[in-house]
Amino acid sequence: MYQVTEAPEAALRSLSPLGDTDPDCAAHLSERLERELEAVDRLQDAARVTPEDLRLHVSM
Amino acid sequence: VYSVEPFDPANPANFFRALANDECPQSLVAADHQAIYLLKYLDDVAAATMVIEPEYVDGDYLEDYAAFYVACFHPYDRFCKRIHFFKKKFSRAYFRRRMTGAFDTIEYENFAKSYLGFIVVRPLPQAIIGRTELATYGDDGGRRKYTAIRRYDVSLFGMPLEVESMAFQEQDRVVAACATVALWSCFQKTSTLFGTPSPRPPRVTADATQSMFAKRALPSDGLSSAQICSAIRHNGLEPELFVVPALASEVPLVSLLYGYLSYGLPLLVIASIEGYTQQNHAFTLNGFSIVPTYQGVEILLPPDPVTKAEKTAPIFTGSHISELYAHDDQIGPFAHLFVDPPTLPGQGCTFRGDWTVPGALKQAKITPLHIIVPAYKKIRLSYIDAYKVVTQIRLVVEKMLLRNNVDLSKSEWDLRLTDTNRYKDEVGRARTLPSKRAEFLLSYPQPRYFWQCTLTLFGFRVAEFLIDATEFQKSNPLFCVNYFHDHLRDVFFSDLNPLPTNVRFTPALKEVLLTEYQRTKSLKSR
Repeated sequence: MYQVTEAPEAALRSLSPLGDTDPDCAAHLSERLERELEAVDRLQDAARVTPEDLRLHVSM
Repeated sequence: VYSVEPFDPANPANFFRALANDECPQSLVAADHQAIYLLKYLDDVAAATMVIEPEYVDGDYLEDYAAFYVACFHPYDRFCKRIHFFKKKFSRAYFRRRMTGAFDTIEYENFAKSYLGFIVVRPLPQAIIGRTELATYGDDGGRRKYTAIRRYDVSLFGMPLEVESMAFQEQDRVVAACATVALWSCFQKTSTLFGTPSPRPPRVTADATQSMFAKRALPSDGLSSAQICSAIRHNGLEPELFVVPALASEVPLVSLLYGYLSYGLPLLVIASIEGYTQQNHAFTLNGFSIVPTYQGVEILLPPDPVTKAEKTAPIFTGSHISELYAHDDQIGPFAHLFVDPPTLPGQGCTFRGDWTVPGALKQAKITPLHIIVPAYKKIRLSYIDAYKVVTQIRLVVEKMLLRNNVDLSKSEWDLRLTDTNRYKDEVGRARTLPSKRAEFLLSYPQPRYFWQCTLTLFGFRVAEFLIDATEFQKSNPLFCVNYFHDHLRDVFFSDLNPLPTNVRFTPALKEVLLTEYQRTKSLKSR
């Protein structure tokens, strides 16, 4: 469905590997990652179907 | 005796007369919503000529008749009418020449190419629109994708014709209510995708009401979600039910629909419609419109609880979907549903279409409540299961981007169901991977069904992650990663490798990502 084209070299080349950046910044982002991973747990709840859900009636 | 008549939307009497019968006079047909919708639809697909079969034995109606109408005191007819539509303008004499001439001439081919499908007209006082197989709207430059359609072979007085469509019919509220008809349309497509049955409406109602009933099955008063799931299971498929309000703030809804629809799987939606309290409606999704421009957020997130900073939801392909297409038995085939993004955190997307609020001249808000996927038994991991895997990978990618001061809106994710044959066909045609990698992907066995997740950065594809859909929830379903940019791959690895062990970041997932990194790194570019 997406367009397959050549990658934009300049923009992608400008990304630095982790070792080249500020370690404090990396630590902060690791904390953020930890917090955000809670979203994975919430997805489990989002997928749950209760017996009440199954009683939803369609009549129109 | 058949007739050949012009189809002229400016003078619709011919069309309404063709739809009328002894039980339902032309004056009633002219006021019927579905008949008016079909008039406009046929105008939009450029119909010019109608061929009317006055006596047609329709298998679907015949089963309705045998299941119910035959036992009525009133002598309902068992024959239908069938109206065929063509783009080409022609006379009865021309049609007769095509019918009695050879079918392998260029002239016959041109005639057959202009075929737009048919409407079966039931001999009932209401709900006259029986099995209807009509061509879709044009693709409008490629944006419209009618993915859940199939080919129907039609024989008109022995003349071989075909149409790409999804069968539609109006509910009669006797053998079928809207949910039955929506299921019937779904099964039309799943039968060609998976080789499963395609039962007729009375059978669908019977399958749905076999184990759970509090009153008679016929006349049908509608179905519950459990009964819909039961009908799906009776026909060799597994129901995958998503409760929309529960997932609205966690999962991008339109992207979820796209994830299945792009494979050609139709979806059954149960929705509430503004102005119609205490009643829900069901319809079948069969396509979508995808555009390059961003159409709006799918999830509105509350601010970060710690930093109070505004949070942006990840962009998935659903953000580029402006419309969905549905068979809605109370509107018509391929009805438009425009997507409205949420306006408050916790809300999901809603739709607008041809429904209006009773007593008011405004479009009714359509709020999806349940999405039910009639999935093949081997497709065990749902969109949400695959989304969970993608979320873990996405968070590492986002960490990498934020560290480099790149706005997260520069990254987009496409998650969709596919199968090994389609994927290998795609790899074989695209030739964007190093030849050794392509050879590996093409020659090694893969799961029959998997989720293909593509990451684009700055608008360009940089990586794809393949997630085995035949696995189970507690498994490690990621089985393949392809990088389309070496530097991006190395930067991603630099963030992934030092990640501390985390119960939420599946250890085995990290291992596969690292193994795939090493494997792809050893390959020279093509």
